Amino acid sequence: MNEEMRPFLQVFLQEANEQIELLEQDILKLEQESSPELLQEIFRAAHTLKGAARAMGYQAMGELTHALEDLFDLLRNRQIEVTPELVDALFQGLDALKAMLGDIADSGTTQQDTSAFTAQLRAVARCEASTTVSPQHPTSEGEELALSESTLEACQQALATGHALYRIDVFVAPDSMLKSVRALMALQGLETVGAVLHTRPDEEALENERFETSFTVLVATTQTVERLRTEVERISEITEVRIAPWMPPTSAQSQTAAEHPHLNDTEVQATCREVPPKESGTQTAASPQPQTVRVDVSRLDNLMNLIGELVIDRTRIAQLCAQIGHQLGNDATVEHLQEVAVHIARITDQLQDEVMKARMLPIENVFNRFPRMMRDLAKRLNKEFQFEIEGKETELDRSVIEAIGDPLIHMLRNSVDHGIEPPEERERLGKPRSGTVWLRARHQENHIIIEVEDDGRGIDPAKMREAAVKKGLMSREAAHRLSDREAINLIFASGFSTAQQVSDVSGRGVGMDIVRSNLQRLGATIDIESWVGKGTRFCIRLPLTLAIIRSLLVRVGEAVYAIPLNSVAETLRVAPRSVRSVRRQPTILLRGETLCLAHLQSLLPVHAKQSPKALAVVRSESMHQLQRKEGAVHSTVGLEALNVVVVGLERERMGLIVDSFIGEQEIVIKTLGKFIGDVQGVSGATILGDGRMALILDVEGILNLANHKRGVKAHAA
Amino acid sequence: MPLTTEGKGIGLEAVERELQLVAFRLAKETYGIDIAAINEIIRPQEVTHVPRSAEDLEGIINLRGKIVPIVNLRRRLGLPENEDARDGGGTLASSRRVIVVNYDGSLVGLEVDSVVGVLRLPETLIEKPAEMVESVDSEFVLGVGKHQDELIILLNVETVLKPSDAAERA
Repeated sequence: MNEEMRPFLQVFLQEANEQIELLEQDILKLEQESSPELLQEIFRAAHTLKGAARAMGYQAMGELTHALEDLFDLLRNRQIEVTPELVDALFQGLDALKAMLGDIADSGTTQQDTSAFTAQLRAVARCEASTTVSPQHPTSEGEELALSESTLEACQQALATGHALYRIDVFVAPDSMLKSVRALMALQGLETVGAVLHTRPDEEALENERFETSFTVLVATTQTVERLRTEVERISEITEVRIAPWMPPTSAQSQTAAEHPHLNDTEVQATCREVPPKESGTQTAASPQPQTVRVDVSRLDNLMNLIGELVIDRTRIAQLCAQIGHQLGNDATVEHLQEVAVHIARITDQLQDEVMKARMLPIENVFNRFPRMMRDLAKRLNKEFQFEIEGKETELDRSVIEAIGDPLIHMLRNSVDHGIEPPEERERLGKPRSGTVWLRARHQENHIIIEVEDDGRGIDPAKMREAAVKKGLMSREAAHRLSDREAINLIFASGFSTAQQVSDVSGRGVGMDIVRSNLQRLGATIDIESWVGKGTRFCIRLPLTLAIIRSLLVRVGEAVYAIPLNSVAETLRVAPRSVRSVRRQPTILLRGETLCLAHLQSLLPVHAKQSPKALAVVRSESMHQLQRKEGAVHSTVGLEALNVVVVGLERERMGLIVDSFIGEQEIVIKTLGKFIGDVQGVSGATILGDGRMALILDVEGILNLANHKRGVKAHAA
Repeated sequence: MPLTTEGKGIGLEAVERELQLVAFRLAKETYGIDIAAINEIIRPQEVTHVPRSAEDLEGIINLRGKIVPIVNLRRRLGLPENEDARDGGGTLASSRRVIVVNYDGSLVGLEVDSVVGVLRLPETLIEKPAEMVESVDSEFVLGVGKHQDELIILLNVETVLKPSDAAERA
């Protein structure tokens, strides 16, 4: 790497990764259908990547991209056809680029030797192109611009779609030290108001400062000349800008047709009517490009943490206001204070909302990784299927996006591996030879729903029961008692894999249980529906953010627990006499169904040695009072109603007996930290308005603890 | 550094490496922790117990918006629970402190009987732990220093707080 470029390394990596991702998506689309717009976009992405790599001094990367770019150019000029082999070669090229970027990210340099591969790509380009082509960048020192056919074609398209063409001559101060930078800034500026179709000298020469004091740009735009002029003139060290309307030479079209006999007139017409590539978005600039700023993610995280503190204080202020109100009664100052408190609360809410939005990303950031993976999977497993993505514009918090990728990968693999039948089997069953896997995302109230569905063989409850018995997960009787739904849900039990063959894709038997626990750690729930012979649908419900959740605060002994509201079904007050003992388990009847009860305290015992004496030193007087009061309640527990929180995930429910309910509150989740690590039944802690802490209940963990305690696999429903 | 290799000794002594450490008392012995590892020293606060956690974890506290675990260092090091200290109540208990150290990118509080102060020990006066320290597992100890006829056991915060095996031993 060029030393002086070091400060730009991060930006380079980010942009290069974006370009590669774009290329990957576009090449996938290319396999489906090839259009001039798409090829133009691909070519542009490759070109940008090449320029960036060279500017950073990564020559090998530049060479490889250049080889790819040449292939794209041949494609664009219809000199070679898109074949699966070609797409494979292109993907290999992208993989090599990714590996290089990985190295660069780790060490700032890359030792990947891609010369052989680059040569191979070049060979592909040579033999696939039946005829060698006209020079790509005809250099002309004359007054007229010499354009390649593809550029002329783009010009025609631009004219046909209501764009005007301008020739812009830009003069840079002769003493400028940053000629190439000025030139690139000018190009970038023009890109925001139109499409740069051609430059003289070419962009590569501009980047490498191989020009004197002026260069020429051909732009297609719907904007005014003034707009173009301001874009360029605001760049410093630009001395003069000449803009003139430009028309392509009239012979261009016939020439194009002549050189490509297979491209008849109607085809030209057809392509002309289409909107030119990516530029169309920026060009049809009736709505101006949204202004954006790149912000370091850690800034947003910090902002979110600070808002978290503010949320805590807001609650605290509200509590203090209420207290003061009680003490002073009707007092004008108190009223003012309360108004201010309400206002602060509202502003805090809005602030939280805005920051949350700033952290939102469309879910395509994860989804876009999948089509490539699915294509590879199809090849490896000899399956045929369509992969349909819906709702990839759905926005959700960055933290969720990061965390959702791995579980989804696993589920998609699972669908392909276990769900979709081999093509021959599908034909035998009278299903379409090619299956379908859907990946959908959508908003639903305060949640995101993500579905993974396939039209494969579905899950057979009978087979699940059989497998559970065979694997020793339960007795034959217990398996028999399971409802179909519960049997299907066994897919989430650990050590369960029904794959006939262990493949390298899935079937290691650690799949879905880990998926589920990872999801639940995110506060998500996962549900499954399956129809034998028809397919399976997984449905994930995700919170919009992981940082702040609504919770129910309850008191247990001297501790306060926060129970995430999304796993609270309801709260009850239960008369002790209505509690029955079923198999030594306290149980109540709730709307005709049995509900097991457990004291939360007994599930979450504090170690005996964590002595209360140490605590007594600093414990406030009020705590003592509270203790005595609660002690009194305990002694009369036989008469007092029990406070029960019904918690549940999907169909598994239980009632937790707590001392008292405190109320609902928004809490900021903090982890217990690496030092403490995982604690079963507790997912983290939060700081309450009064500065004290509450532990956040991990409902899944609690259910497991309760089941474990009962010593049976519970099917309390 | 204005030092000749043969030096008159003055220069050499002046640059002799010193270790700055915070000395504290624990079960009637004096221990030290390198000051570089220490974030701050606070008075014990009310802890929130964490159920189902290791028994040497007293609980967690809210340190200016951060959640900091508090470790009972006696228990962590396998020292006897000092009932006298507890029963002594007032004076002894009020001298108790929590030394907040940086560990693996986060903060951890160590509860000690009392803090003696900051000491400077020349590295030459620190000996590698042999069988000298009987009370504490030798892997927890970086060395033993001498300060005014008193032995100071230099703790290795990293190994003391290392999870798993340390937790099992406790």
